[in-house]
Amino acid sequence: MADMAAAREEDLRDRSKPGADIDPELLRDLPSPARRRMRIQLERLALIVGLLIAWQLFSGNPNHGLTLIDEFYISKPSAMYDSISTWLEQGTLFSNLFVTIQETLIGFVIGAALGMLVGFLLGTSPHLSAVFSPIMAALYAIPRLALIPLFLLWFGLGMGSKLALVITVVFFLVFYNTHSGVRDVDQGLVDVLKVMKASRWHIHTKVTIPSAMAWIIAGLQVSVPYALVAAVTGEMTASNSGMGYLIIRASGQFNTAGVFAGIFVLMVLALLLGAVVAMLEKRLLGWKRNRLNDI
Amino acid sequence: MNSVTKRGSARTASRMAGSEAPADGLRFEGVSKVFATAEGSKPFLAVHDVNLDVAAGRFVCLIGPSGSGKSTLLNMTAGLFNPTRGTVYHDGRPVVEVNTRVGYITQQDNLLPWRTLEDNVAIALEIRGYSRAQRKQLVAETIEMVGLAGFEKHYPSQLSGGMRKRATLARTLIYSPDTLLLDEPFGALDAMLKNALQTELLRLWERDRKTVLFVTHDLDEAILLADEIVVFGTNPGRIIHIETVNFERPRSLTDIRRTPEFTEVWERLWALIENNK
Repeated sequence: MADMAAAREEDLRDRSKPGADIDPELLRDLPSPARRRMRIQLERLALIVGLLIAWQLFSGNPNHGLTLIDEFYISKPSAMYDSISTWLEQGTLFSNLFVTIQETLIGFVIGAALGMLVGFLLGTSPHLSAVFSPIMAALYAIPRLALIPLFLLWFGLGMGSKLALVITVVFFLVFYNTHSGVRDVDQGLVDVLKVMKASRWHIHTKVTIPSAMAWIIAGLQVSVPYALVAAVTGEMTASNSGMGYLIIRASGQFNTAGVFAGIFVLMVLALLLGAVVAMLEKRLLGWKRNRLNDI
Repeated sequence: MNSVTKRGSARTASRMAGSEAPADGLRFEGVSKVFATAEGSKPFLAVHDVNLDVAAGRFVCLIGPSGSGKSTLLNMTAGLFNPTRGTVYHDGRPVVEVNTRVGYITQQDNLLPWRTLEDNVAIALEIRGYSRAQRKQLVAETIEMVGLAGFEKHYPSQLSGGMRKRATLARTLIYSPDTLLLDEPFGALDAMLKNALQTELLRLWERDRKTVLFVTHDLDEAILLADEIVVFGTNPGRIIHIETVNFERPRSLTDIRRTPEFTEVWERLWALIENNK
């Protein structure tokens, strides 16, 4: 366009226009983040391996030369490995792990869905929010573990009572985050869209939900480990399957290696769940990471 | 005669024969707005008895100190809330709900931070149900028009302040509102950038001649841009003066700033604003 070109010449100093290409010379001396990451990872690996070796060496029979701490209290990596292999051979590991994963995930999904739904409804309606706020606060104040006996009465020893516990734990975390996120929406954004002829549906799908997404994701992220904690706690209290049950049983048999092995498996599970959530966050909140560095 | 006219009080207006709201442009008829404030304190009179006609295609600046009701007037023109008394007419029809024939740009960019530039610009078309193919063409043209070609995939956080301003302009112009409401759009920018964007805005306005209500604190800006300057006073927010600006168009700030006419208008309006704080 001719008038555009004229306008461009008129204000060459305008910094709001696209920037210039960068001379490759200037890019040559930028520090290499890859090398730094590599180094950090090596040091981390060395630390872990070192600790495992020390644990293996200094734990054992108290009458043995190198032993510093009795194996009965802290077990040792090789014994944990044996425990896990035995469980694998007997098929106990996967059947119990599967129960815990099921409780965690199903409870998480139901609790999160309910939390988002109620959080959205109360967040978008000041009236409902005013009516329900103190009620929600009172329910939230109940220590969740105190509900376990009730859930056992209602749903029995099986998965039902654990699901109920996980759902109540996840629900409130996700509910409060969603609620805050929805109420935190910038009224300016909403007004701009209204003037553009947006319906309520448009405003919710194009502004409210994406804007609350950062809060919702934060709520989901926080509640994943809590979901696992709730499932395992439920299993430890009363049940006949799951990782919590496996750990409690080993403890009852004075099998320290079994307890440590169970804890180790739970740690790996928690890390895996965390990684999945982080991936989800990256996908949904990609726009937050896309900021310019060093400008 | 001015095409922007301060009209008599609402009571007088209702007695005037043939005072039907004009078929084109904006009319404010006896417009007042009271805000209820926190419990216990006095309600706040933001706008008092504003009577004003803005003919279609005019560029009108509203100037005055903070709290003189300029932004409130824009919000009522956009139909985001209604006057407590009086009526705003847009092309002869009273504005009673959200006015979707205006484009509204404020000091905040209000770009959606999770959408790229092109998706931000496309949003009004999405709401209006345009197909993806229809959107693509128009979005590309509009981005080109405001000089942001090449930045389609950037997020607002990756754009500079001036570029974000251009983006809001594109996002608004794409749905061709017949009236633009601009609330200190360049308020937060530095002087050079401000000048560049003023020039750009004038260029775009001279092309389509939309009706513009432009709120500003900056007297230079008002004189550069406006056909008419409406001066507001505070306590309560009200119109105290209307000035017609006669500089030839197209204008440039560097050209008109040194003329004696500029100084004369500037000093007179400045004194007026100062004395009515």
